Amino acid sequence: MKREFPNSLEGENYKITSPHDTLYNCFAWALGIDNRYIWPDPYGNAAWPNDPDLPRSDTLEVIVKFFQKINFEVTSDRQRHANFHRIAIYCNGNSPTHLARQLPDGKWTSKLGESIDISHTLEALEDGSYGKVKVIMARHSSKTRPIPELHPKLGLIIL
Amino acid sequence: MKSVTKKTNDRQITLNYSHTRAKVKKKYDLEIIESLHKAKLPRLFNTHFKKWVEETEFYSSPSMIKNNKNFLSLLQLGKMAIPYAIDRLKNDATPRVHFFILLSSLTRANPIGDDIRGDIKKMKTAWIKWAKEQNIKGA
Repeated sequence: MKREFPNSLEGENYKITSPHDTLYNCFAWALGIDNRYIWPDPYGNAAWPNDPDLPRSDTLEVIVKFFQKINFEVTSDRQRHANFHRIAIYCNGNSPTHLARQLPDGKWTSKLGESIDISHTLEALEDGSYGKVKVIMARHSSKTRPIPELHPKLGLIIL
Repeated sequence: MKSVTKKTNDRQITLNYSHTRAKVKKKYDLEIIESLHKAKLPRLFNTHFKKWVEETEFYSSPSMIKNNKNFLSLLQLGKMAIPYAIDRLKNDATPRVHFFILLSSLTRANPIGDDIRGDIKKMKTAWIKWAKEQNIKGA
């Protein structure tokens, strides 16, 4: 952890919440899914909506557009507010590297690639392999809607 | 006239001989290189694969997973690495996206249908089925 994320201090700013699992990744976990590998993967190994507005191109723009489709809006506020869902997108420069989802207690939850799940502060994963939090998006809980249909289909997922 | 023809024939024979010798030498050298390469292959494959997974296990972006020197070393092993990748995929208790990234790069094949993308367990089954159809046995 320390090698990849120099700000991380176990017990201080992050805690392991579930063991190593290769079946899902951070994007899936940001949506609350734990059995798919989801990414706008240009090489075609990940699940992704078959939607002309959302090309398989791993850019920040495409990921922001994905969340806009389910009523998230870009915000600069990192704090938790009751009744709001919030996700954070980490980038190296403009290249997206990681997604985290805010928990009701204000902490964040992340699946680290194909490794462990942790709860953490946003800063714990900054300044290392994931770069910096570039975009935070929020949505009022009254505005939930089904996520764009993925290939393969997962059924109705309401985030 | 007779002597000119003989000279031309001799020259042609010499040329053919040196050409064949060069070909034989090249083939022989290639065989030696290939056998050395083959002997080292399992160790090289396992070392690079292990390091590649260790160094990229925290990444979700396939572009980041590919941007690693051990992945490039695996690609340099060429098509001879395919049976080792299949063998490892068959026997590894934890199927992971790394296998599919490597296999699609080594083989240029794509046995993953739209209906199973991102479903790691089903992708494993599809690649093993593909290997069977191609008569590729695990090393």
